Amino acid sequence: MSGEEEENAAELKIGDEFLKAKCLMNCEVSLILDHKYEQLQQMSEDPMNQVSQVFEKSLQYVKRFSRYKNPDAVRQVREYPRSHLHQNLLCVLGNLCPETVEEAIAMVPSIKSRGRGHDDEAIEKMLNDMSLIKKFE
Amino acid sequence: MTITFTPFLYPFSNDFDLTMMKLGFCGFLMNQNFEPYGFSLIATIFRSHDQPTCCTAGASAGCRGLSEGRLCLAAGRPYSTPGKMFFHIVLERNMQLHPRHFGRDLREKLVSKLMKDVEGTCSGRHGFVVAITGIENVGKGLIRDGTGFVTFPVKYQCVVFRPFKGEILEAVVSMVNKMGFFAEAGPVQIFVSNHLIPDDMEFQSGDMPNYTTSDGSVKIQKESEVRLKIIGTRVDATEIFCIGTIKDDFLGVISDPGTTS
Repeated sequence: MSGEEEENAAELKIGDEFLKAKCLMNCEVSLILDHKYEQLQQMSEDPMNQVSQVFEKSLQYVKRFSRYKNPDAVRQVREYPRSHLHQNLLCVLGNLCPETVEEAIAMVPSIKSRGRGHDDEAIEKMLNDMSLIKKFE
Repeated sequence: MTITFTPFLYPFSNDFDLTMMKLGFCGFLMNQNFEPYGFSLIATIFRSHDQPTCCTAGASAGCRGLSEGRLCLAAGRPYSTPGKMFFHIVLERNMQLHPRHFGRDLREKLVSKLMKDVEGTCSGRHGFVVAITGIENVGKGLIRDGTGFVTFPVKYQCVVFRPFKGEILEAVVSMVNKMGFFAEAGPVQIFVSNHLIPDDMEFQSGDMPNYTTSDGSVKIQKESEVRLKIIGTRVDATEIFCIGTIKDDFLGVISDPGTTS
């Protein structure tokens, strides 16, 4: 524990472990937490007593803000642009579901400057595909 | 009344900070570690015989990244790539286990103890640990001298919630007052000051305090869903606080409770 306490004050950037870590969309978190909650339910009568407040609040939050409810749709979004989209961007887009290109750029400025240079058309196509997944889930 | 305010703090006006202090919010804003911005804010409040409340607030700069911090506060623009707040991450922890648990189900004991110890905690570095999803490996135990306890290094995967500044996220408004509003995104609380609410939104007091535009078309009240941008985080060993803004393009109310339910 003491190691963590020393490290936090200087925290300015995303730590190494977060650069390597896989980020999750709200809908994915919702699936994971739901699954876990079901497991707990099988083990005990009163699962709400078992879980922490953080768990409870997170579950409520992701349920409220999940854009994709269906596990298949979640997988499609996750797999969709794997080749040319940084996964962090994917998560932001998957969570916020911007409707227009301008909105997407305002949400994630780095979408334009990530070396791969997504132009407006590419972004628009991406947004369209994502909203299609949502529509047909 | 002495107020010294350095120019780069202008989003929080003097008046605002005074009000905040009177209402006891000084703890929230003033003791903030603004280190992410590259400066720290020091405030002292004391009473003197002729003035009810006297305050000095100053900012000490000189840390790294001041210009970035200024940019960030003034324009509300992120200078780091926004991450996403939920992460799946591998962490390691040394678990101490009492010898009475040794036996066939040592591993299960270890795992259930790990869950009990770790889930729901918050560390400044990794954020809130929401749920453990799997164990990567359990290392070789080491007997502690004198106690008989054994320490096992355990590597586990977990879902953590870690807000970063510059990040845009959706949150539910939990409290509205004339200083601004608090919103919750999962386990974290975000404060949006009234200076970071668009100028055309006015505070309305009453049973249901809210911020409303002059034409009444947009309303922020308890339970409203807003999209906001985190412009500052204060991270300490066991807690994370955030300050957010809705004064930027594509930020603001997504839905208010009156229209959705």
